[in-house]
Amino acid sequence: MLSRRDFLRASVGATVAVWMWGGSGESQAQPIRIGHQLDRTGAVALFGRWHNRALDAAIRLVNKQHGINGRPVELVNSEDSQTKPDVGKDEFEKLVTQKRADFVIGSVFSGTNIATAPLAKTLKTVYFPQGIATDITERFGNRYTFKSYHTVRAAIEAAHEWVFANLGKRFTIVHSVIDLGRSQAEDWTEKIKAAGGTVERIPVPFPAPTDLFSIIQKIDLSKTDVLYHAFTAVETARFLQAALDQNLQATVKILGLIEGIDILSTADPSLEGTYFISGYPRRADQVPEELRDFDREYRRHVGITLDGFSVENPREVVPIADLFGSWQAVFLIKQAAELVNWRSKSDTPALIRALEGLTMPASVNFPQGAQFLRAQDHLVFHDHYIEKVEGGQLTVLARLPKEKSLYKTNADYTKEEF
Amino acid sequence: MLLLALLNGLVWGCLWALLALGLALIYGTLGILNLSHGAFYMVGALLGWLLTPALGFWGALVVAPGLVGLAGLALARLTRLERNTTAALLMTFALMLIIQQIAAIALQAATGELRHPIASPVRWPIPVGDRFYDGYRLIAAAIASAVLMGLGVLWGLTRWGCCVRAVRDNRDLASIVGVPVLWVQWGTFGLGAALAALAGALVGPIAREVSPTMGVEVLLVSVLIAVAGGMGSFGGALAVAFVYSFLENLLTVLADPMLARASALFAIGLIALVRSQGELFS
Repeated sequence: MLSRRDFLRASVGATVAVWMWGGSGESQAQPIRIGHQLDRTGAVALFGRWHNRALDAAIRLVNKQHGINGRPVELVNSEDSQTKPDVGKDEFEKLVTQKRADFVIGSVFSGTNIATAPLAKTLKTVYFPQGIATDITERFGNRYTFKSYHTVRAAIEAAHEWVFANLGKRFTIVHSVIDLGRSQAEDWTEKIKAAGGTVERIPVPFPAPTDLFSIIQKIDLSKTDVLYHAFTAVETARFLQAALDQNLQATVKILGLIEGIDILSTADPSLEGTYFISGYPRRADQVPEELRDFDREYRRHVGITLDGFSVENPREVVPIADLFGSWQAVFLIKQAAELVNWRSKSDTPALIRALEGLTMPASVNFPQGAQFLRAQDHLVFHDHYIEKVEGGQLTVLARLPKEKSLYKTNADYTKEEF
Repeated sequence: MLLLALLNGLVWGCLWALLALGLALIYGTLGILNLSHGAFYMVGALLGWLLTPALGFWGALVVAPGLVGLAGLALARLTRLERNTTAALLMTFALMLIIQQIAAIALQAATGELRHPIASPVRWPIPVGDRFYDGYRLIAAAIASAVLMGLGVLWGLTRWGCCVRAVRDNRDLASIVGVPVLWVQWGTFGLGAALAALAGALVGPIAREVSPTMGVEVLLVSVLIAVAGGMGSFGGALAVAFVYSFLENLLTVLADPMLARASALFAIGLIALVRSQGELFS
């Protein structure tokens, strides 16, 4: 018969054994947490929702690929960054300190990225900002920030030769005063002047005035070959409509970054004949032949039709290229973490070193095509495209290899301490 | 270029006048600054867009301000805003936030986004030099002018106008001589709301979009116009609306767009200052 002492011994022993087994099991299964600085409201809310969806799809795929170093990956979302830099910064802090995110994919709003970058370094957390203002990698980045999709300067560097040769060198740039618009205006101005062209800049307050008629009137058509616009998506639609009201589409070549119409249907008459610089074709039949298998998989995972619309809502345009920033950030983490056998945040310096200079072949993980991550400024370089709206649809006119987008950077984060 | 700027100034002058006049009338008769005025403007644009598939744009242009006007009348009657002007200020501010949130939820549910594009009801490009002017704007200005003229007739030549002016000048005396002061006040609140809604419905196709925040964008300007015009003054609000509109359009074309609105606002701020000093010294 079991004595009381034996019973107690057995109980304690069993409890310790269960605790140790359970504890070690929990440690093995402990997920790696990827946080999302998600804008649920404000100017980039639609982008925020789609980036979140792309992240969710990427993480599901990673988990099907046995996670990262055998550990499952979990997505943790911020409450709402509200497209406001201060709020976004606070949300980042909560993600890291309260929700224990190991890595954070940033907001699409450049202002939020710039406000958050110093905190990423303070909290020693790798941060992937999704805004595209040049200063994110040039002036305001640090060793902990990585851009997994192009910046304005990379896109302009890639496209400027084609644009000058095919559209002209006499520019009028109408731009919003926010970082996204200002950096486009500054970078184009430098290129145009270096090429001997002329440039007239018309800054527009943010948010743009209710009526853009008077702004359009300021454009001197006799001195303009290329009318370049740099606004957020909804303001781009209003600007192009106001331009159509004054028949500018028939008079000058209108050019912009695809980010300006990323969530807009190109069937609108105001877009007909306009040119865009993009990081990826919206329509599957315009994707380069060698990437089509990956493209098909990417669209299937995220829920995008062959024409670039949402599978659930055929009227909703998906910012297909923009989403690569979030999708590919997850696979950058996976690739680098597996290279250095990342276990916890104490291994993050090794992971950062692995990311610096990483090359990524085209695959389902990197469906945008082969890319590389420049060590100095932590920016990914990929191919670009010139697209034109013809018959209501975006058609690729030229593919610009990633090497064309390499510009001289002033940053060198590899010299920074961890 | 200047001709088009002046033309656009004239169009926007009519639209600003509609907005500011509603605000000035409400202040004149109720003694309150209606901070929900921008929300009525936004609801006008939103209803105009929502009702267009059923009624057509022109039908919606009549029904939307009518509905907002009735809602404004009911609101003034139920809340008795005239009782406490300080509380009314806070109440109209809260009302603006509530209406804005409801509109945001409704728009998000209906379209999945917070800003929705609006097409112009007519395609009438008028060639002016190497440019075109959107004929719809002239139609919008004509409608606004007709309403303003109608109001002018009501204001100056009818018993209703006489009652409103009497309430504005001295409520107690107006009451003694048999003017239904409360109904004049509530009715004027409804009329002011309807004018704001009409302006919103007319501006929608010019702005090319409807959004829950569009009312906030115009509130500051319309308040300044109404203040500079002399709260409660029909002619004053009208004159300052046109001064502001011409200044903003001309300065945008001739100078920096970043400074145009600020300069135009500064100018009407000066008018308000000079006017208030004049009243102080008189």
